[in-house]
Amino acid sequence: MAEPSARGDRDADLTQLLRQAQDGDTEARDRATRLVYDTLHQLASRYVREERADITMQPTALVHEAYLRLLGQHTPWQNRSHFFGIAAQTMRRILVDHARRSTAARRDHGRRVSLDALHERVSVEQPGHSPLAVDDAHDILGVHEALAEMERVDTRQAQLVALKFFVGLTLDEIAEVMGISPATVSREWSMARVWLRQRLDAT
Amino acid sequence: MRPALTTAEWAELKSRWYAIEESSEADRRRVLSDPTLPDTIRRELERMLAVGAEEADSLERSSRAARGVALLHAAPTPATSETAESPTLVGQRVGPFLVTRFVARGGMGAVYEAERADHAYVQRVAIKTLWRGADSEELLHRFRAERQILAGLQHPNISQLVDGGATAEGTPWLAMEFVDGEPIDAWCDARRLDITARLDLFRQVCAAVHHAHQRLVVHRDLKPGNVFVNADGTVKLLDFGVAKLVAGATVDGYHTLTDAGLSPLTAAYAAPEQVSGESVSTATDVFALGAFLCTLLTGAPPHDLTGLDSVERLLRVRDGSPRTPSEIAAKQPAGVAAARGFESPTRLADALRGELEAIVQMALRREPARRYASAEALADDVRRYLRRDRVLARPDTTRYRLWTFVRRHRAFTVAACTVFITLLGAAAITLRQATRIRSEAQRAERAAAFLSGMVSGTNATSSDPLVRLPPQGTLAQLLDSALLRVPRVFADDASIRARLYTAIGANIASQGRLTRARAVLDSARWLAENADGALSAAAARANLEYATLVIELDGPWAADAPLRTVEAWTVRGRDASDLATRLLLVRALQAHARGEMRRADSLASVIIVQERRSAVRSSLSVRAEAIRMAASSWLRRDPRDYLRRAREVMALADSLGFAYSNEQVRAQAAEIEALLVLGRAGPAGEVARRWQDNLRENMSFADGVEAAIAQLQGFVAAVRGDSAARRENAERAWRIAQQSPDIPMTSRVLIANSAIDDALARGDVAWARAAADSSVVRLQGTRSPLVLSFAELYAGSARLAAGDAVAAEAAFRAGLAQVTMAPDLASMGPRLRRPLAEALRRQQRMAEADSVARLDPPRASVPKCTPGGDWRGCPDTD
Repeated sequence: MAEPSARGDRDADLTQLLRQAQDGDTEARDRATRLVYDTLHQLASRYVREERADITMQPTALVHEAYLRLLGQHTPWQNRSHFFGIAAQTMRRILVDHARRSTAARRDHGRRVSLDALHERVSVEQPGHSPLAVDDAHDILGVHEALAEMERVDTRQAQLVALKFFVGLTLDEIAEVMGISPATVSREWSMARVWLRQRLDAT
Repeated sequence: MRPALTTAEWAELKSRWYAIEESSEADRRRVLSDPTLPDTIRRELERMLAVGAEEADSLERSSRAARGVALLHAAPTPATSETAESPTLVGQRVGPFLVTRFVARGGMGAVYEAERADHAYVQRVAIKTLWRGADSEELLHRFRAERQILAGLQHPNISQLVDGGATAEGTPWLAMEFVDGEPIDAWCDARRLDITARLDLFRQVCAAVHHAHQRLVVHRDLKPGNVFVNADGTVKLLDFGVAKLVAGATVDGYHTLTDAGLSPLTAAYAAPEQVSGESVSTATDVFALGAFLCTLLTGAPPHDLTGLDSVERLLRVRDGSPRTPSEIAAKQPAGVAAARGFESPTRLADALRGELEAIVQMALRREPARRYASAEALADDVRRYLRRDRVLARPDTTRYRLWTFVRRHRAFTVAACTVFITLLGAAAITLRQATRIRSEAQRAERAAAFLSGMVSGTNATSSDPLVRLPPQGTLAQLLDSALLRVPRVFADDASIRARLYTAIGANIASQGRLTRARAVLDSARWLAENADGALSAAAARANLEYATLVIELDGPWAADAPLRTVEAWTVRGRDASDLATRLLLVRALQAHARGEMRRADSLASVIIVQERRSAVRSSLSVRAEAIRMAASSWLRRDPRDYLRRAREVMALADSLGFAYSNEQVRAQAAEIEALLVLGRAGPAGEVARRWQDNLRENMSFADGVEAAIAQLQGFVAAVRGDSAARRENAERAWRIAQQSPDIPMTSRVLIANSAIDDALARGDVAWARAAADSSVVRLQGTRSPLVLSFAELYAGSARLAAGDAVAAEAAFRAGLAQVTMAPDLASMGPRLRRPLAEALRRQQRMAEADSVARLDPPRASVPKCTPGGDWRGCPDTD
């Protein structure tokens, strides 16, 4: 039913893009990703502007709001799962970029104390832009790498971890999004997190 | 680094872990000492057991902290946050090189000077480190893949890529031929080069780019910062092929927005196809060369992106029109003109106008195919200009520009252009003004009112056919980008946001993108009620649009709550005359969906009387007449009356100049239906064919329209006696309805029923039954007697055909229960009772069957040409 002419429309409906992406259309997937990123980005700016209080809980709310905005509430679960997959990847990307930057900056600050460095510190640590704690930044990079390893051997478990770690969905939400039982999610997460921890400690 | 586990090892690790996770120390030891346990797994398990519970929890803490930061960094941050890397590599070895000096910090990382440390031979290189999203392994992989090609790229004007790798810390780096010089624009300005000298240098740049293009390497990031002039005056292009290496090294190849697209320096030279993620080609570099030439000539690139954030930059590059060189030059400070040997900006602008400007514009054309065919062709035209030959570039004619505009916004008619383009233009301007005069709340209020008036017409309804609806992609794009802008432009004013969401949501709904519209309108209601209060015109309008939409999408019940809010406002009677009339209309629609035909009819009559009194017949009249038409088919049951009313609706719509509206679709369907009942299949087929063409021509590619077209085609095929085509179309409509959440409930039931009908006709009983059952389940939530009585009738028929008389009985009885709730639907009674009696007979319950059958007179005894009887051959109004 999807006329080929619809492919040229850059802002086609996410529902449709996801449908095409599921059929293996990588271009549709890219466009879906871009749409999700745009929306996350736009919502994030609003949150920041409104200076909502509990900053750490917001990313999850953010993803949910993006979801509602892009897909509405009555979407088949395959689309839900695909959407959150993309959101997890997007968040992961933003985070890894930031963690890299933040470790690089810190390495520098540790060695050099000059006016320049002080300026940089101010710009990195301006109000509302709390930098990551060193441990956290290392954890993020570590999880990113370990997760890449897990992806090679167990895609489902890796996706589950990404949804938990990078998006912050609850175990029940993950179960719903991925269409598996909450018991399985809980079991897989508890194993994954111990494995990830030892992998992080080892490096 | 430990060796990575294989899939099989991972599976084993998991199952062993689950076995020992909760068990006692002794059991654990037993499992670990199991001789069949491979060493790799045992080591993993031991390490995992050493992790304490608290330690594992720390992962969730860092995840929480991380996500908080991610949020902040998903938001636009000042450019300063890009400067985190520092010259730590000085004195270190990188690959075969020793880093000697920190040079600069660039968009992708830092740049150092280095020389070969192994003294194999003397080589000075620039080392570029990459931190942004670069995955070092992937980068190296790509580097190796591209190395051959890049090594072949030898040209006096191109700085060569020498080597690449990753540092001990995993930072990817690239080594390039070291160029000691300065960026070309600074170099030209410092020497106050005139236009001719600048054009000569530009031709060298074109030649280098052309050389690379012939070897299939596209630069992708040409800009003055990447073109240096070294000490002896030779032009050197930096970073050839680097953009591709870096772009491909990002997590999923998605880079336009987050990487290059974010940097204002890069975006100003990016071609539209680059930011919209379409394929990049040599034409992309031609565009960049055009932008680059513009900067050399005028001191600024064609797109002014200052003060824009990344999304706005993206939209500007993708959708905006580049400024012309003369336009830019005229506005530049006197110093710019002076550096080119002109006494004033006006003089410089005059010199650029004409052929030179045409050259730049030709390179900057939106469509890659309409630019210069190659960098060489561009250079040739510059040479022609320098020799005072006639250049090949021609400025775009006004007609051409209009054509491209229309093509870009494909099926807009002139009317649509005026309405929609003006409204968005006005939105941007008025809103910026509004933010400036924020303190004067009243004016902002007026601006907002003006806007939502512009968008949907203050007293018009959501499906007001002011415009011929274009294919979805174009108008949808416009609306979606408006949606994207609203929260940015009006971040500080929820009330304006609510109004705009209402207007935009109503327009999205009229395009048939119903679920998306519902989400937007739902936000609008929520925002309006929070910002303006539940008792406000804004909240009333938002709720009215929402109610109109959900009646058809979710069922009549869904409109109850929003309509109560509207009512509370209109009862107060303030500024609500048009709202009160529209409320009547929505109430009439709701009554119709509930099967309360009399109520629907009288509500619609009130609207018509009111409009007659005020001597204005608007779209409200058409909609009210359409409701009366539908009600009459139930109340009067006279196909001639039905046909007459259908034609009246069409005529009224025509007289008001509507190109397309839902009412016309319904009237057309009614005409077909009435003609069929009158036994005139030929004319009915003719109407269907005409209407199908009309839909195809005028409507968006929304799922609902696609399904409607399929249905009409199926119908035309049926009239023609082409059963294969009929079936194919019925199935297509069915598939669309199955997949799309955007199908209104009445269409859904009609589509399902004709597919079931078709399956029964060809004897595919199993399919018919499955389809019928799923249709009932899907429509249950609408709680609409109108829709459900039909769905149950077909479900019962399919089950009866499948030989399941018991299940069939249940369906027919459920249908009758719906009719009992809505007495105006009484004429459905006999249609349900007749097969019900049959279902009872098949169960050998003869007495019950007879008592059901006795409720209705036998069909044959109903006189011809009366309600419920046979109308074929009866005189009609034609």
